[in-house]
Amino acid sequence: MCDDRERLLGYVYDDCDAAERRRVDEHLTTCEECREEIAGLRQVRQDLLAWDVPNHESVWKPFAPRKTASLWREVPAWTLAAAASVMLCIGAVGGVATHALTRSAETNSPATEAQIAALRASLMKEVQAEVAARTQVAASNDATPQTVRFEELSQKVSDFINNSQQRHWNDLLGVSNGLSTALRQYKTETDATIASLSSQVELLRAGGLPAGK
Amino acid sequence: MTRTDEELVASATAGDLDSFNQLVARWERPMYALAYRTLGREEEARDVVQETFLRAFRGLKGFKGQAKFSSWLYRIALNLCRDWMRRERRAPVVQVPEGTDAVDLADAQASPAESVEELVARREMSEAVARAMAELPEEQRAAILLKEYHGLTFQEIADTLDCPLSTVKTRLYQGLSVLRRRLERRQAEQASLRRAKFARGV
Repeated sequence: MCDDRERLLGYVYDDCDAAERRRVDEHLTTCEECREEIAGLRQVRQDLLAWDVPNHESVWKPFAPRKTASLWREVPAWTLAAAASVMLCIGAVGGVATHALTRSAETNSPATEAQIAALRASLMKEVQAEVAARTQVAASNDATPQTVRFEELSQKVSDFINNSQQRHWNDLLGVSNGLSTALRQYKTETDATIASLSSQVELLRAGGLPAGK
Repeated sequence: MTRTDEELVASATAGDLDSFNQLVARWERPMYALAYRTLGREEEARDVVQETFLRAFRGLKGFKGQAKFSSWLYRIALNLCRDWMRRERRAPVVQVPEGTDAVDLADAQASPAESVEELVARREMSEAVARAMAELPEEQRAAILLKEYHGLTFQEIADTLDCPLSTVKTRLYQGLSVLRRRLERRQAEQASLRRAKFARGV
Protein backbone atom coordinates (compact mmCIF):
# COMPACT_ATOMS: atom_id res chain seq x y z
CA MET A 1 0.00 0.00 0.00
CA CYS A 2 2.94 2.32 0.69
CA ASP A 3 3.94 1.78 -2.95
CA ASP A 4 0.46 2.49 -4.22
CA ARG A 5 -0.67 5.64 -2.44
CA GLU A 6 -3.51 6.16 -4.89
CA ARG A 7 -5.32 3.41 -3.02
CA LEU A 8 -5.53 5.78 -0.07
CA LEU A 9 -7.78 8.07 -2.12
CA GLY A 10 -10.72 5.67 -1.89
CA TYR A 11 -10.29 5.65 1.89
CA VAL A 12 -9.97 9.46 2.15
CA TYR A 13 -12.99 10.11 -0.08
CA ASP A 14 -14.99 7.19 1.31
CA ASP A 15 -15.30 5.88 -2.24
CA CYS A 16 -14.31 2.26 -1.68
CA ASP A 17 -15.99 -0.92 -0.46
CA ALA A 18 -15.98 -2.11 3.16
CA ALA A 19 -13.31 -4.75 2.57
CA GLU A 20 -10.87 -2.19 1.14
CA ARG A 21 -11.62 0.13 4.02
CA ARG A 22 -10.76 -2.62 6.54
CA ARG A 23 -7.49 -3.38 4.75
CA VAL A 24 -6.44 0.30 4.85
CA ASP A 25 -7.43 0.57 8.51
CA GLU A 26 -5.30 -2.45 9.34
CA HIS A 27 -2.38 -1.06 7.37
CA LEU A 28 -2.58 2.34 9.09
CA THR A 29 -2.16 0.76 12.50
CA THR A 30 1.35 -0.20 11.53
CA CYS A 31 2.40 2.41 8.91
CA GLU A 32 3.35 5.89 10.12
CA GLU A 33 4.08 7.19 6.59
CA CYS A 34 0.64 6.31 5.30
CA ARG A 35 -0.99 7.89 8.35
CA GLU A 36 0.89 11.10 7.57
CA GLU A 37 -0.09 10.86 3.95
CA ILE A 38 -3.73 10.56 4.86
CA ALA A 39 -3.48 13.49 7.28
CA GLY A 40 -1.86 15.58 4.51
CA LEU A 41 -4.60 14.69 2.01
CA ARG A 42 -7.29 15.57 4.54
CA GLN A 43 -5.61 18.91 5.24
CA VAL A 44 -5.43 19.84 1.57
CA ARG A 45 -9.09 18.92 1.20
CA GLN A 46 -9.85 21.24 4.09
CA ASP A 47 -7.89 24.05 2.43
CA LEU A 48 -9.74 23.55 -0.84
CA LEU A 49 -13.03 24.35 0.91
CA ALA A 50 -11.92 27.98 1.17
CA TRP A 51 -12.25 28.53 -2.59
CA ASP A 52 -15.45 30.53 -3.01
CA VAL A 53 -17.48 31.07 -6.15
CA PRO A 54 -19.11 34.50 -6.55
CA ASN A 55 -22.87 34.61 -6.60
CA HIS A 56 -24.46 35.00 -9.97
CA GLU A 57 -27.94 35.44 -11.35
CA SER A 58 -29.44 32.85 -13.61
CA VAL A 59 -28.36 33.16 -17.22
CA TRP A 60 -31.12 30.89 -18.46
CA LYS A 61 -34.30 32.30 -19.91
CA PRO A 62 -36.83 29.51 -19.27
CA PHE A 63 -38.58 28.03 -22.28
CA ALA A 64 -42.20 29.14 -22.57
CA PRO A 65 -44.79 26.37 -23.09
CA ARG A 66 -45.47 25.55 -26.72
CA LYS A 67 -48.35 27.49 -28.32
CA THR A 68 -50.81 25.72 -30.61
CA ALA A 69 -51.26 28.67 -33.03
CA SER A 70 -47.60 29.13 -33.86
CA LEU A 71 -48.45 31.23 -36.94
CA TRP A 72 -49.38 34.23 -34.81
CA ARG A 73 -45.94 34.32 -33.20
CA GLU A 74 -44.53 35.42 -36.56
CA VAL A 75 -46.95 38.37 -36.95
CA PRO A 76 -45.77 41.76 -35.67
CA ALA A 77 -47.70 43.07 -32.68
CA TRP A 78 -48.93 46.23 -34.42
CA THR A 79 -50.70 44.24 -37.15
CA LEU A 80 -52.50 42.21 -34.49
CA ALA A 81 -53.58 45.44 -32.81
CA ALA A 82 -54.79 46.83 -36.16
CA ALA A 83 -56.71 43.62 -36.90
CA ALA A 84 -58.33 43.77 -33.47
CA SER A 85 -59.47 47.36 -34.03
CA VAL A 86 -60.88 46.43 -37.49
CA MET A 87 -62.93 43.66 -35.91
CA LEU A 88 -64.11 46.03 -33.20
CA CYS A 89 -65.27 48.60 -35.77
CA ILE A 90 -67.03 45.97 -37.90
CA GLY A 91 -68.86 44.88 -34.77
CA ALA A 92 -69.79 48.48 -34.01
CA VAL A 93 -71.10 49.08 -37.57
CA GLY A 94 -73.10 45.85 -37.35
CA GLY A 95 -74.59 47.01 -34.06
CA VAL A 96 -75.58 50.38 -35.53
CA ALA A 97 -77.19 48.69 -38.56
CA THR A 98 -79.15 46.28 -36.40
CA HIS A 99 -80.32 49.13 -34.23
CA ALA A 100 -81.39 51.15 -37.28
CA LEU A 101 -83.31 48.20 -38.77
CA THR A 102 -85.00 47.40 -35.46
CA ARG A 103 -85.96 51.02 -34.94
CA SER A 104 -87.34 51.21 -38.52
CA ALA A 105 -89.45 48.10 -37.93
CA GLU A 106 -90.65 49.50 -34.62
CA THR A 107 -91.74 52.80 -36.22
CA ASN A 108 -93.45 51.00 -39.09
CA SER A 109 -95.41 48.49 -37.05
CA PRO A 110 -97.94 50.80 -35.31
CA ALA A 111 -98.60 52.67 -38.55
CA THR A 112 -99.21 49.43 -40.43
CA GLU A 113 -101.54 48.10 -37.73
CA ALA A 114 -103.50 51.39 -37.74
CA GLN A 115 -103.77 51.21 -41.52
CA ILE A 116 -104.93 47.58 -41.34
CA ALA A 117 -107.49 48.59 -38.69
CA ALA A 118 -108.69 51.41 -40.95
CA LEU A 119 -108.84 49.02 -43.89
CA ARG A 120 -110.78 46.51 -41.81
CA ALA A 121 -113.25 49.23 -40.76
CA SER A 122 -113.55 50.39 -44.34
CA LEU A 123 -114.09 46.80 -45.56
CA MET A 124 -116.69 46.21 -42.86
CA LYS A 125 -118.61 49.31 -44.02
CA GLU A 126 -118.35 48.16 -47.60
CA VAL A 127 -119.53 44.63 -46.67
CA GLN A 128 -122.45 45.98 -44.59
CA ALA A 129 -123.43 48.34 -47.41
CA GLU A 130 -123.10 45.47 -49.86
CA VAL A 131 -125.34 43.23 -47.71
CA ALA A 132 -127.93 46.02 -47.42
CA ALA A 133 -127.80 46.68 -51.18
CA ARG A 134 -128.15 42.96 -51.99
CA THR A 135 -131.07 42.73 -49.64
CA GLN A 136 -132.68 45.73 -51.35
CA VAL A 137 -132.05 44.53 -54.93
CA ALA A 138 -132.83 40.85 -54.39
CA ALA A 139 -136.32 41.26 -55.77
CA SER A 140 -135.26 43.25 -58.81
CA ASN A 141 -132.56 40.65 -59.99
CA ASP A 142 -130.20 43.43 -61.26
CA ALA A 143 -126.62 42.15 -60.65
CA THR A 144 -124.46 44.51 -62.73
CA PRO A 145 -123.94 47.34 -60.24
CA GLN A 146 -123.02 44.78 -57.52
CA THR A 147 -120.25 43.22 -59.74
CA VAL A 148 -118.77 46.65 -60.42
CA ARG A 149 -118.67 47.41 -56.70
CA PHE A 150 -116.80 44.12 -55.93
CA GLU A 151 -114.15 44.91 -58.61
CA GLU A 152 -113.61 48.37 -57.10
CA LEU A 153 -113.17 46.84 -53.66
CA SER A 154 -110.66 44.27 -54.94
CA GLN A 155 -108.67 47.04 -56.66
CA LYS A 156 -108.54 49.04 -53.42
CA VAL A 157 -107.15 46.06 -51.45
CA SER A 158 -104.56 45.36 -54.14
CA ASP A 159 -103.47 49.02 -54.24
CA PHE A 160 -103.14 49.13 -50.48
CA ILE A 161 -100.94 46.01 -50.43
CA ASN A 162 -98.75 47.34 -53.25
CA ASN A 163 -98.35 50.69 -51.49
CA SER A 164 -97.36 48.97 -48.28
CA GLN A 165 -94.74 46.81 -50.04
CA GLN A 166 -93.32 49.83 -51.82
CA ARG A 167 -93.05 51.74 -48.57
CA HIS A 168 -91.14 48.88 -46.88
CA TRP A 169 -88.89 48.52 -49.88
CA ASN A 170 -88.08 52.24 -49.77
CA ASP A 171 -87.28 51.98 -46.05
CA LEU A 172 -84.88 49.07 -46.66
CA LEU A 173 -83.18 50.96 -49.50
CA GLY A 174 -82.64 53.92 -47.18
CA VAL A 175 -81.03 51.74 -44.50
CA SER A 176 -78.86 50.00 -47.09
CA ASN A 177 -77.64 53.32 -48.48
CA GLY A 178 -76.84 54.51 -44.95
CA LEU A 179 -74.83 51.35 -44.28
CA SER A 180 -72.96 51.69 -47.53
CA THR A 181 -72.00 55.28 -46.73
CA ALA A 182 -70.87 54.33 -43.19
CA LEU A 183 -68.71 51.47 -44.52
CA ARG A 184 -67.12 53.71 -47.16
CA GLN A 185 -66.31 56.29 -44.51
CA TYR A 186 -64.88 53.62 -42.20
CA LYS A 187 -62.70 52.19 -44.97
CA THR A 188 -61.27 55.64 -45.67
CA GLU A 189 -60.43 56.12 -41.99
CA THR A 190 -58.87 52.63 -41.69
CA ASP A 191 -56.73 53.16 -44.78
CA ALA A 192 -55.46 56.41 -43.29
CA THR A 193 -54.63 54.68 -39.97
CA ILE A 194 -52.77 51.82 -41.69
CA ALA A 195 -50.85 54.28 -43.86
CA SER A 196 -49.87 56.24 -40.76
CA LEU A 197 -48.75 53.05 -38.91
CA SER A 198 -46.73 51.89 -41.92
CA SER A 199 -44.94 55.21 -42.19
CA GLN A 200 -44.12 55.07 -38.48
CA VAL A 201 -42.69 51.56 -38.86
CA GLU A 202 -40.60 52.72 -41.82
CA LEU A 203 -39.34 55.65 -39.77
CA LEU A 204 -38.34 53.28 -36.92
CA ARG A 205 -36.53 51.00 -39.34
CA ALA A 206 -34.75 53.93 -40.97
CA GLY A 207 -33.68 55.08 -37.49
CA GLY A 208 -31.84 51.76 -36.97
CA LEU A 209 -34.29 50.34 -34.48
CA PRO A 210 -35.44 46.74 -34.95
CA ALA A 211 -39.08 46.61 -36.09
CA GLY A 212 -39.97 44.23 -33.26
CA LYS A 213 -39.16 46.72 -30.51
CA MET B 1 -42.67 14.44 -5.20
CA THR B 2 -39.38 15.55 -6.73
CA ARG B 3 -38.77 13.95 -10.07
CA THR B 4 -35.38 12.43 -10.84
CA ASP B 5 -33.12 13.79 -13.54
CA GLU B 6 -33.86 10.75 -15.67
CA GLU B 7 -37.63 11.31 -15.40
CA LEU B 8 -37.25 14.97 -16.32
CA VAL B 9 -34.99 14.07 -19.24
CA ALA B 10 -37.63 11.62 -20.51
CA SER B 11 -40.37 14.26 -20.27
CA ALA B 12 -38.20 16.91 -21.92
CA THR B 13 -37.33 14.54 -24.75
CA ALA B 14 -41.07 13.96 -25.26
CA GLY B 15 -41.51 17.72 -25.71
CA ASP B 16 -42.26 18.98 -22.19
CA LEU B 17 -40.21 22.16 -22.11
CA ASP B 18 -40.92 22.85 -18.45
CA SER B 19 -39.11 19.64 -17.53
CA PHE B 20 -36.01 21.00 -19.19
CA ASN B 21 -36.43 24.28 -17.31
CA GLN B 22 -36.46 22.26 -14.09
CA LEU B 23 -33.25 20.48 -15.08
CA VAL B 24 -31.61 23.84 -15.72
CA ALA B 25 -32.79 25.20 -12.37
CA ARG B 26 -31.32 22.13 -10.69
CA TRP B 27 -27.94 22.14 -12.43
CA GLU B 28 -27.20 25.73 -13.38
CA ARG B 29 -25.39 26.60 -10.16
CA PRO B 30 -23.04 23.55 -10.20
CA MET B 31 -22.25 24.18 -13.88
CA TYR B 32 -21.44 27.80 -13.15
CA ALA B 33 -19.18 26.81 -10.24
CA LEU B 34 -17.33 24.33 -12.45
CA ALA B 35 -16.91 26.82 -15.30
CA TYR B 36 -15.87 29.62 -12.97
CA ARG B 37 -13.24 27.51 -11.20
CA THR B 38 -11.95 26.21 -14.52
CA LEU B 39 -11.70 29.57 -16.27
CA GLY B 40 -11.44 32.00 -13.35
CA ARG B 41 -13.64 34.47 -15.24
CA GLU B 42 -17.23 35.24 -14.35
CA GLU B 43 -18.40 36.50 -17.74
CA GLU B 44 -16.96 33.56 -19.62
CA ALA B 45 -18.33 31.16 -17.02
CA ARG B 46 -21.83 32.52 -17.65
CA ASP B 47 -21.38 32.06 -21.39
CA VAL B 48 -20.25 28.49 -20.86
CA VAL B 49 -23.29 27.73 -18.69
CA GLN B 50 -25.70 29.08 -21.27
CA GLU B 51 -24.02 27.21 -24.10
CA THR B 52 -23.89 24.02 -22.02
CA PHE B 53 -27.66 23.96 -21.59
CA LEU B 54 -28.34 24.94 -25.18
CA ARG B 55 -26.15 22.09 -26.39
CA ALA B 56 -27.74 19.71 -23.92
CA PHE B 57 -31.19 20.68 -25.16
CA ARG B 58 -30.21 20.22 -28.78
CA GLY B 59 -28.57 16.88 -28.01
CA LEU B 60 -31.27 15.59 -25.68
CA LYS B 61 -32.60 13.04 -28.15
CA GLY B 62 -29.08 11.64 -28.57
CA PHE B 63 -28.60 11.22 -24.82
CA LYS B 64 -29.35 7.56 -24.19
CA GLY B 65 -28.65 7.46 -20.48
CA GLN B 66 -25.28 5.71 -20.93
CA ALA B 67 -24.03 7.98 -18.10
CA LYS B 68 -25.80 10.12 -15.53
CA PHE B 69 -27.39 13.24 -16.95
CA SER B 70 -25.22 15.38 -14.64
CA SER B 71 -22.04 13.63 -15.82
CA TRP B 72 -23.08 14.36 -19.37
CA LEU B 73 -23.63 18.05 -18.50
CA TYR B 74 -20.25 18.28 -16.72
CA ARG B 75 -18.60 16.83 -19.78
CA ILE B 76 -20.21 19.38 -22.11
CA ALA B 77 -19.25 22.24 -19.79
CA LEU B 78 -15.62 21.06 -19.45
CA ASN B 79 -15.31 20.63 -23.20
CA LEU B 80 -16.60 24.17 -23.71
CA CYS B 81 -14.11 25.48 -21.15
CA ARG B 82 -11.27 23.65 -22.87
CA ASP B 83 -12.36 24.95 -26.29
CA TRP B 84 -12.45 28.50 -24.93
CA MET B 85 -8.97 28.27 -23.38
CA ARG B 86 -7.50 26.82 -26.56
CA ARG B 87 -9.23 29.36 -28.76
CA GLU B 88 -8.17 32.27 -26.58
CA ARG B 89 -4.78 30.66 -25.77
CA ARG B 90 -5.34 31.68 -22.18
CA ALA B 91 -4.77 29.96 -18.89
CA PRO B 92 -7.19 30.27 -15.99
CA VAL B 93 -6.89 33.53 -14.13
CA VAL B 94 -7.20 34.19 -10.45
CA GLN B 95 -9.66 36.93 -9.67
CA VAL B 96 -8.39 39.18 -6.91
CA PRO B 97 -10.75 39.17 -3.93
CA GLU B 98 -12.85 42.27 -3.40
CA GLY B 99 -11.63 45.22 -1.34
CA THR B 100 -10.74 44.81 2.27
CA ASP B 101 -12.57 47.79 3.68
CA ALA B 102 -14.81 47.22 6.67
CA VAL B 103 -18.11 47.36 4.74
CA ASP B 104 -17.01 44.80 2.14
CA LEU B 105 -15.72 42.51 4.82
CA ALA B 106 -18.92 42.74 6.84
CA ASP B 107 -20.92 41.76 3.72
CA ALA B 108 -18.68 38.81 3.00
CA GLN B 109 -18.66 37.26 6.44
CA ALA B 110 -19.79 33.65 6.26
CA SER B 111 -21.52 33.98 9.63
CA PRO B 112 -21.73 36.60 12.36
CA ALA B 113 -19.44 34.39 14.42
CA GLU B 114 -16.63 34.76 11.86
CA SER B 115 -14.20 37.47 12.90
CA VAL B 116 -12.69 39.91 10.42
CA GLU B 117 -9.31 38.21 10.87
CA GLU B 118 -10.83 34.85 10.05
CA LEU B 119 -12.56 36.31 6.99
CA VAL B 120 -9.33 37.85 5.73
CA ALA B 121 -7.54 34.54 6.27
CA ARG B 122 -10.29 32.68 4.41
CA ARG B 123 -10.07 35.06 1.49
CA GLU B 124 -6.31 34.74 1.32
CA MET B 125 -6.63 30.97 1.38
CA SER B 126 -9.28 31.13 -1.36
CA GLU B 127 -6.91 33.10 -3.54
CA ALA B 128 -4.00 30.79 -2.76
CA VAL B 129 -6.07 27.74 -3.70
CA ALA B 130 -7.23 29.40 -6.92
CA ARG B 131 -3.64 30.20 -7.88
CA ALA B 132 -2.39 26.72 -7.10
CA MET B 133 -5.25 25.13 -9.04
CA ALA B 134 -4.67 27.43 -12.03
CA GLU B 135 -1.13 26.10 -12.34
CA LEU B 136 -2.20 22.44 -12.47
CA PRO B 137 -2.45 20.57 -15.76
CA GLU B 138 -5.97 20.70 -17.17
CA GLU B 139 -6.71 16.99 -16.58
CA GLN B 140 -5.63 17.06 -12.94
CA ARG B 141 -7.59 20.23 -12.28
CA ALA B 142 -10.76 18.76 -13.82
CA ALA B 143 -10.48 15.58 -11.73
CA ILE B 144 -10.02 17.56 -8.50
CA LEU B 145 -12.88 19.94 -9.29
CA LEU B 146 -15.30 17.11 -10.00
CA LYS B 147 -14.31 15.20 -6.88
CA GLU B 148 -13.88 18.00 -4.36
CA TYR B 149 -16.56 20.47 -5.33
CA HIS B 150 -19.12 18.29 -7.07
CA GLY B 151 -18.79 15.03 -5.16
CA LEU B 152 -18.67 12.73 -8.19
CA THR B 153 -17.55 9.15 -7.63
CA PHE B 154 -14.36 7.94 -9.30
CA GLN B 155 -16.50 6.07 -11.80
CA GLU B 156 -18.59 9.13 -12.62
CA ILE B 157 -15.41 11.16 -13.15
CA ALA B 158 -14.12 8.42 -15.45
CA ASP B 159 -17.41 8.63 -17.42
CA THR B 160 -17.25 12.40 -17.56
CA LEU B 161 -13.62 12.63 -18.62
CA ASP B 162 -13.86 9.50 -20.77
CA CYS B 163 -10.83 7.81 -19.26
CA PRO B 164 -10.14 4.66 -17.19
CA LEU B 165 -10.82 4.62 -13.46
CA SER B 166 -7.13 4.14 -12.68
CA THR B 167 -6.29 7.27 -14.69
CA VAL B 168 -8.78 9.27 -12.66
CA LYS B 169 -7.10 8.20 -9.42
CA THR B 170 -3.65 8.97 -10.79
CA ARG B 171 -4.64 12.46 -11.93
CA LEU B 172 -6.38 13.14 -8.66
CA TYR B 173 -3.53 11.95 -6.52
CA GLN B 174 -0.88 13.81 -8.50
CA GLY B 175 -2.93 17.01 -8.46
CA LEU B 176 -3.63 16.82 -4.74
CA SER B 177 0.03 16.13 -4.00
CA VAL B 178 1.11 19.24 -5.94
CA LEU B 179 -1.54 21.36 -4.20
CA ARG B 180 -0.51 20.03 -0.83
CA ARG B 181 3.16 20.94 -1.36
CA ARG B 182 2.28 24.46 -2.57
CA LEU B 183 -0.18 25.19 0.18
CA GLU B 184 2.15 23.82 2.85
CA ARG B 185 4.95 25.99 1.49
CA ARG B 186 2.67 29.02 1.56
CA GLN B 187 1.70 28.33 5.15
CA ALA B 188 5.35 27.98 6.11
CA GLU B 189 6.11 31.33 4.45
CA GLN B 190 3.26 33.03 6.27
CA ALA B 191 4.33 31.55 9.58
CA SER B 192 7.82 32.84 8.93
CA LEU B 193 6.45 36.33 8.15
CA ARG B 194 4.40 36.35 11.33
CA ARG B 195 7.44 35.40 13.37
CA ALA B 196 9.47 38.16 11.73
CA LYS B 197 6.74 40.73 12.45
CA PHE B 198 6.50 39.53 16.03
CA ALA B 199 10.29 39.79 16.41
CA ARG B 200 10.19 43.41 15.09
CA GLY B 201 7.38 44.16 17.52
CA VAL B 202 4.91 45.16 14.73
